[in-house]
Amino acid sequence: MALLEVHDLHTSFSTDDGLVRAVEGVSFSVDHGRVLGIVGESGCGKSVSMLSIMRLLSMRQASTSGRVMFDGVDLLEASAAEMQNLRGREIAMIFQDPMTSLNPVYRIGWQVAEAARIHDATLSKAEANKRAEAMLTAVGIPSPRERLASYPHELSGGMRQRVMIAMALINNPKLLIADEPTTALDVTTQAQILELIRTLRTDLGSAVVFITHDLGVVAELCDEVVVMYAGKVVERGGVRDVFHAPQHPYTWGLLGSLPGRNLRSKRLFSIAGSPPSLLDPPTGCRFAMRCIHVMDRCRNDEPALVSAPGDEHFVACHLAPEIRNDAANQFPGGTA
Amino acid sequence: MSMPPAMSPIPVDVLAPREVGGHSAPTRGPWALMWRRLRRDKAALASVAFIILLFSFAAAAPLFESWTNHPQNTSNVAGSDDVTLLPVGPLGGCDGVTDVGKDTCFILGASNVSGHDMLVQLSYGARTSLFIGVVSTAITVAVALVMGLLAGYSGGFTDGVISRLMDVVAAFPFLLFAIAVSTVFRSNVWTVIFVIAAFSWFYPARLFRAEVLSLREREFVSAARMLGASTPRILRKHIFPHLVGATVVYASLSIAGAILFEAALSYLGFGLPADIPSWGRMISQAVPGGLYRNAPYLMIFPGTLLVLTALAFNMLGDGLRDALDPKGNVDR
Repeated sequence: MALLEVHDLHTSFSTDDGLVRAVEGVSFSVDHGRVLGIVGESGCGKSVSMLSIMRLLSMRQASTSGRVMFDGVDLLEASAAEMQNLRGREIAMIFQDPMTSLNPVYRIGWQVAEAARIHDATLSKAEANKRAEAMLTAVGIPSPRERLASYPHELSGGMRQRVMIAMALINNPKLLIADEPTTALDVTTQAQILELIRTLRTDLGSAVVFITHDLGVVAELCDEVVVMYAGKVVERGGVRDVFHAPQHPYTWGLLGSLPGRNLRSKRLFSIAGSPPSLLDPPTGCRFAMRCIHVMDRCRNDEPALVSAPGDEHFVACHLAPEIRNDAANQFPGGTA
Repeated sequence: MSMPPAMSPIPVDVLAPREVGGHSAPTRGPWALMWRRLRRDKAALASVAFIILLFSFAAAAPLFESWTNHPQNTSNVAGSDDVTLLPVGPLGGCDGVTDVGKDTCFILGASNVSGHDMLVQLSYGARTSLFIGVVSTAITVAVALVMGLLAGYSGGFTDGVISRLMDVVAAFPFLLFAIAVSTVFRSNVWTVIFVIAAFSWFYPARLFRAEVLSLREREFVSAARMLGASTPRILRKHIFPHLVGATVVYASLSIAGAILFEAALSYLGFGLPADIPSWGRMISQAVPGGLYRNAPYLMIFPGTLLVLTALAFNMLGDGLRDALDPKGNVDR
């Protein structure tokens, strides 16, 4: 059994306009030492799935169902106290914007040490500080002893993201969820942070769920990938299978819209249209209205995930396997 | 200042970042920054000096008592049983400062109504004013913090109940209630403090609630929850520190308000009982029969002290607000 197994996760929000079904029937799993990438455009339910798993959504507005087995515990059934105990100790998360995720009134050292002290009341201040310093060293912050006394505003975005990673990893969590951790950073800093996550994964053997809309990052970092569209998983598989033989028209679109494949083409390719409203999603395939291969069946029947070539590779599409494979052959491996 | 041995930017060795020079800008915490700005604010510094003097003046009350040999709350004017007693002017009955200590010598004069020595009364009155100002403000701010944090962080039903309670208190006729309380109960320092606190907490509570509403959506609060921090811990360690600035500023302004309100109540005769010295009542004693026209000092001394005290706390509050403003210009 994998470390994290998500089965048929549903999350909806009740709003004044009606029920927004943000996540519908999402399933995936990650094991120790593996990196799972979740890709999809903004609003497709990537972050909401993760917040549902960590039970960080406000219970007043969100309702979640399904099964989230983490190390033998169903997180959706666990008590609030159990969840509080798991968060930060067994499962940790890194947010998108390091500029706002640190508390501006406390020194870095206090914040990193607090992450340890929350879960170990017996830890003395001095010991917690020592661990904080060791952690800052581990995430590659220069002169960590001096930085312990800095306030967040004195650090750059990349440094702050390292501090966030230090806070997330100080208790050696089994699962690290990284929610677009490099989106707010510039490209050179991005590379450093990715390298850091890769190193930590090998050193600590933690499982990592990496949310991004950057396919290049997925190709570089991940072992498996889940492609989400409008709250659903449309394709799932090993990163080589998905990049070498993508099966879903949405994945074709995503890969096709990457720049750099053909520098001589005048314009970047983009998928026409925009995702459907999740307030009143269309019946049938949710990608149908933007799909160039759309058939009558797509507008009525919802496609289920079916096996595709490769190991543990699944796709939710009505197209005949031959057509899918023909189209997939035009992708000589993405950026991988 | 050690220079990196090589300047090649690629590939970057992540786990062994290069040391880059020394950091020349010193680390400054929020309090250090505040003090740095406050130090340049002459008006605020003058207010601080005045407030320190005022506390010393209040603390020295027994010294004035023994120096002038006029115990407080005893009539020191000869023939004080006479209803037609006249007030004594400043330095009345003194031939010089050396005469201080004689029964008949009053440095700042004496009241005609009670026969009390003005200096002694002013100094004991300062004790009353400061005590009421500080204690009622402490209670007001404490209640407001609890209510504001609860309403702002929990939202929903709790927020609804607390917010409506604030509306009710805000709509209540404050002065009428204060007068009613003082006629029903025998009023003392604590009833006055209670009335002030009961009717002023709603205002700072609204401020704090609004502040918490925006703070709880900040990412560092989600980050703390992600790390497994409990709600009480988040409120105490992650949200409350952001309210300290507003609390300090409000407290300073509120002390001035409370002192003025006590004076107003006592002036109207609904404040403190006659045996507790009060600046407000001292002013009111100059009113009957237009006495202030002949003996303006009866009104001028307590009135000036009252105005200066309120002014000092207000100016300090303004100074603190500017000093704590993150958008403030450091080099103002």
